[in-house]
Amino acid sequence: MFGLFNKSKQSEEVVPEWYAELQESQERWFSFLEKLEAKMEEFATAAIPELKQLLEEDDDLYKRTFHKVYSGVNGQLNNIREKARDTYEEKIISVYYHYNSKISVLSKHHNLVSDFRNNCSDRHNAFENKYDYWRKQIDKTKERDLEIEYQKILSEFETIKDKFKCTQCGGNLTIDKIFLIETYVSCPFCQTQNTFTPSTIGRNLQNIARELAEQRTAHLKEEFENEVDKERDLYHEHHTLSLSTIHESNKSVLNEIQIKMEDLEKQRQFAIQNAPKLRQIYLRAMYDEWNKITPDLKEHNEKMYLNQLKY
Amino acid sequence: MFKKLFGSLTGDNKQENQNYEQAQTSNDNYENDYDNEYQEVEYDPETLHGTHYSVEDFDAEVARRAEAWIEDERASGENVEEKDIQNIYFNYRREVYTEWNNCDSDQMIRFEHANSLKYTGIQTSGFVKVDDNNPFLEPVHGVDLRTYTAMCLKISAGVDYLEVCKAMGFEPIVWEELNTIWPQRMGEDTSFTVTTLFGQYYAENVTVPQLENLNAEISAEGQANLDRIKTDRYFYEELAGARQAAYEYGIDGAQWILDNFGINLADFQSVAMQWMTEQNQNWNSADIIAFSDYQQEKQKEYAAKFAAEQGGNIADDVNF
Amino acid sequence: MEEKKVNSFLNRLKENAQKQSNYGGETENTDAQMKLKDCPNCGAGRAKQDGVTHCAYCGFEFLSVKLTDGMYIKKEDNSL
Repeated sequence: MFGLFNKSKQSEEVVPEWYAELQESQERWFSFLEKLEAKMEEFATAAIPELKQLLEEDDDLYKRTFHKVYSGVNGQLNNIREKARDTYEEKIISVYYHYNSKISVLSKHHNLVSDFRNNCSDRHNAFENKYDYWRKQIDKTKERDLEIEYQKILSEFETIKDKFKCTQCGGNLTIDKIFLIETYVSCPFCQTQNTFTPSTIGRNLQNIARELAEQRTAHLKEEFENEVDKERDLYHEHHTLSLSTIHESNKSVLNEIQIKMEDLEKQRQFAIQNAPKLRQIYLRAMYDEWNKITPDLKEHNEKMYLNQLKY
Repeated sequence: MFKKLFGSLTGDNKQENQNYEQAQTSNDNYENDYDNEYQEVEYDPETLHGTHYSVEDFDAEVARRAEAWIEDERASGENVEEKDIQNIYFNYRREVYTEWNNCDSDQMIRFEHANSLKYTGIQTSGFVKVDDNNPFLEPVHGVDLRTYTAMCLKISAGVDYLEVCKAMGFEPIVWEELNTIWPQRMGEDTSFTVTTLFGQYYAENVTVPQLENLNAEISAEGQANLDRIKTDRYFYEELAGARQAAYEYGIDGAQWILDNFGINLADFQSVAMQWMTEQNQNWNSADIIAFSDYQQEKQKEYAAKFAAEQGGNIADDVNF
Repeated sequence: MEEKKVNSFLNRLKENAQKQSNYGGETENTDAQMKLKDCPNCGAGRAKQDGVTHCAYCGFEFLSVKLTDGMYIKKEDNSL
């Protein structure tokens, strides 16, 4: 880390006096972020198993204890991030502005000022990436295997579907499907309307249905997202190639690059056309799964599907 | 910051509208351009168009400029998609409006709010008009959206839903249907009319005769605080900031407000909607920024308090 | 010492979360139920063909609304 400035030192014969201050600020900034990153890692690695355990143990229907702690953990990560941002403004950017206004762009030393800013900003970006990484790891603690919960709901249904008798005549009542909310069930013998109230477990089906369908079709979503990324990658590759032609005068090399670029563009156009198709394939499959899990919501879901296709 | 604000304050349902938000420009530019030659323009109270031109002329001028641009883009080989076309129209609408009315960006945003359904297909809170022919607004089991909202208000204020059903004269089975179908309609309606209108009723704290005598318990102190957040915007912003800070420290903000200020979630949300609606109707960016800054300042104060109670933040000992 | 701070913070976070009551009260896990609502006026039950809004015998109003096509309840469930 302390070798950071060696290169510029060598290229500049006389290093200006003020350079020491920039150097010190940069070194402090790097070590400050390193310490924050260590904190973040330490905190997140301790929090992740705790969160997983809490989610499992939380008896509340809405897992509210888990959500409170989850929100508090993210609050601390956010606090660390804000600390870095505020410090960047206060200790780095203000120093940069100070020297940037003092040192003319024409000065041979001006690059020391801009290098200072670039180095610090790159380091800040690296820190932000680490933050994103830990945020995602914390997010993942919310994931649970919904197939297990789904099985619980199905087996509960098996135990109750033939369990009830008509409150009026005592005849057997069969619950013919998983009802999502209260409903009237009429007795096949005396026609009396009984009121059926689903259990807490049964009601949960409505809450998990979409996420379960998404879990089951995650691979299709990934295929779609990869196609979108591919378009961006191809675009950048094309752009880099096109820059490389600027200083190239050899005709056959230029020709080769041209052919490559055309090929990339073709692939990119294909990705542009293909991505919406893959999206539709994913959405259709996801809604099909969803409809299988909660057939009673099909009519509504189909409207939602059509809306989603439009946007 | 203004960009972020614009998105978050005009309503909660504008995700679809994001490509418009990106076109948001700084207010300062408009002020510099138009401040010096500002003159009174008379506006139609409904459409907020200047009365010195017709709406048809306005739309035609926007279309003329937009189509010319689109044609240009296409001629130079660009792939202009529906999304881009909407953006182009959106930007020219702003341009023509500010030009023809010689106005600042606040007036322009008020105009956009008043016309959001017409131009973008999306409603803005404070501007929804009830259309009796809208199938999304047809009563469910005889219960209209207004009554449904009144029931929701009572229940989230803490009144037992069984009591609410009894007062309404039906079995809970009907409530369960209502509470399934109305939210479904909110999801299905891409113009957000149902959601926005629900919000408007919520802000009005609507009630129906059947429910008038059903009230959640509220302490004298709670009532005083509630009255105060309705009239004192700064106090409202303080509590909103405190609530946000609470969540960041693992505390349920809704319960915290109830415990410490005696205001239940329904009342708090209703007041929040009230301020938001008022803000949409009388758009003033300077005020909005001032209130938002105040809320952030308060949020920081409360965060420091919560942090102290937790024994400090975990990175407090890391210094530059 | 570092280690301690992180753990004690997490512990306090958990304690506070568990201590604070949940808005709207605690949820209870209930089993599925089957109930019957007799007419409070004359004691008759409601038969499917008579609809659910009024008592077929004495006219007592069970539901003070006109049913439309909903999730499970349909227009046909109105009593005549």
